[in-house]
Amino acid sequence: MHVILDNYPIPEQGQVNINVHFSFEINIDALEARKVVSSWLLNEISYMIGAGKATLVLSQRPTWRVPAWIAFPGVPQKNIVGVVDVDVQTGEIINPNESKAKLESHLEETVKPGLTLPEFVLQELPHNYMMELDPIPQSFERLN
Amino acid sequence: MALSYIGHSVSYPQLLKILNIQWFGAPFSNVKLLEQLGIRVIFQQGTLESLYNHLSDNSPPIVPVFTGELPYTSESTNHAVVVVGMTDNYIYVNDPAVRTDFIPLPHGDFELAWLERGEYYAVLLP
Repeated sequence: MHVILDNYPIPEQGQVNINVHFSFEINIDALEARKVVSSWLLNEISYMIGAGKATLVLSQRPTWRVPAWIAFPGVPQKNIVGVVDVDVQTGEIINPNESKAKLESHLEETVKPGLTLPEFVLQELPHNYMMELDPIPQSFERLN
Repeated sequence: MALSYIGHSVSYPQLLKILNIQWFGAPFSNVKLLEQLGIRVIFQQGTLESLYNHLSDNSPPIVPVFTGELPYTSESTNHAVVVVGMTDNYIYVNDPAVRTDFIPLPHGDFELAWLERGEYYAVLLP
């Protein structure tokens, strides 16, 4: 597990002494925190934004820090658009309004200017996709 | 596809406006805004059984998925598809990004793709 010590200013050179003592309960694990953030991103910002792997942040209020990312069809890389913090004890998203504003601001100011989307083209199924499946029933009731 | 299935014809620009779609998409929960068209929208989390029950009522659910778990594409994006059929081995989806009418997906692949997005779904009812 990766842990971040937040608000521990250290000098860039010279002797560093860090004494750490934290005592707290983790009631929400990293996976659960990621699920909380994933659902929040889906339903509050965009179905195109997903949640990454949570990192524990030790500060006055211990949190899970979950990166948010967006990817676009035809563009291989994911763009990290910010982070969302989750309280390790309650599972609540910390400052959701502020997080939402920051994410949307990053999308507009950083992601959008550098984004070149390819022209949308309907994809074809891979040539052998159907052949690699088990025999497909002919009798399923399709709705369309 | 889901709107036309229940007999509503809405132009694409009008749909973008109603759903407040921006260049980075829109909240999936915005699907509830379609109620202003005079239809009923079910929006909630569920299970495969929930999807099956809606299919049995001739109501195709719209589901958000992570395409990195879908075997027919090499994209790793967050997306939405319409579930149009289900058998013991396969979930059949209509993917608006793919030319084919319906795509069979092994249950395990579909479930992973759907689980990644919290197993939400929306159903549009006339």
